[in-house]
Amino acid sequence: MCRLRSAGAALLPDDVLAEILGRLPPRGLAVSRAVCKSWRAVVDDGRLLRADLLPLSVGGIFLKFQGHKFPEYFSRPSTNKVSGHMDYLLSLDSIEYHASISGHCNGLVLLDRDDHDFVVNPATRVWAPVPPLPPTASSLLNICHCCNYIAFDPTSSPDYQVVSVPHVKCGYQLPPSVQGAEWPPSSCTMHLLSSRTNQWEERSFAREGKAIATALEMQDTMELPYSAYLNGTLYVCGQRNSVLRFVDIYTLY
Amino acid sequence: MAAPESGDGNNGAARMVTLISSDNTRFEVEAAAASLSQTLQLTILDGGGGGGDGIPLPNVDSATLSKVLEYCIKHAPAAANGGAPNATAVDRAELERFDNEFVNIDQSVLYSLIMAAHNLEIEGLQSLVAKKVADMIKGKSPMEIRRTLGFPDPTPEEQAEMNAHMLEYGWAYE
Repeated sequence: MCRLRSAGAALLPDDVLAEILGRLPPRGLAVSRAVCKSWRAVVDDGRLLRADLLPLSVGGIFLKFQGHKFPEYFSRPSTNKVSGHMDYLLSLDSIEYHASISGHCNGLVLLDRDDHDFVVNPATRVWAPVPPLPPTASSLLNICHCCNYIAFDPTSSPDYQVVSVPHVKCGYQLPPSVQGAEWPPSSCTMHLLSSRTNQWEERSFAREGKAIATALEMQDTMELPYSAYLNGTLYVCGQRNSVLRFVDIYTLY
Repeated sequence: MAAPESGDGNNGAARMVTLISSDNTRFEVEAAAASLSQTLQLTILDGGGGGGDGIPLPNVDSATLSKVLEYCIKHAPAAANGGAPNATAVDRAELERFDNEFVNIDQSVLYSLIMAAHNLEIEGLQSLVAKKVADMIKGKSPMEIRRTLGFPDPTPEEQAEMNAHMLEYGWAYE
């Protein structure tokens, strides 16, 4: 018990306190556990903190070997709770396919299976298909190919987001009218998917800072399939060794 | 002599009920507004609270009750529309503005309000005040939360527990 004679907050009944704390994101809940014993009891007894969602430790790593159908999973035997065999996805159909990991973020894996993306949680074996991009009126897409990147931060929200980022196609004859166009464009409509709806939505992004090069120059190099997500900002490796920074893709709940 | 009224067949004039605070102040308010309280709703449906009777609320003082009723009166029309699916955006924006202003109050008043909303089971008010307190907590360290909410200084033992927690849940403090 928090000592008596303190202000009202320490004397709130447990169910009222639970309603208040239940509105906090996981990070806030974890911090609340430390406030005092009765708060900790409310958080723990109400199972408000979803321990299964939290980044507690590294369970293992995936490696993709040439010639193997699936990525292989390496872990220490003692932490072997995670299934590396994503063969449970096989039950989708019996056709042979190859799968590779095209992205990952805080325990979620973006799996590319014959050009269809899936979001997989290897710890829980829960997966969800990423729906195909809707057709769009944007003229950009003629000269671009889009790659999906995943953003997931269980300490601030149980939802993940997938962002579809356009890159200039390599080895593609650009129409003269767009060859000199700035890249990335000063503003751009991109598709963003939230796991809450699992539907793509259009979102406008405006470029901060200068363009890297022209569309024609961007064709020199391929983008690298890497991204990182930290504190609400998604960093994506772009072409010509650039890093694209997407701020505020998470709309907080 | 006033004709005895049965139920709500009152020629358009809204039915009124009387609520009595713990310090014996009487509040006359429309039954529709008071009925936002799940606790009071049944009594009012049974015809209670009218005339000279009044419904005593021994757990709510007059300052808190007048604040609670301010909320109920403002929200009653929207609630009568069944959660207001046909409310205009302007109406909703106005209610939101009112709500934000409404919880912009002293902490002692806020706690009385939390308890009153809880005891009277006024759903909208319960979630409004819970959200307000959650917003006060969000983004703060345990020590800052304790200060914000007026907890006493931690004992050495509590302080040690806090430090241990910071080690274990390091990611939450990044």
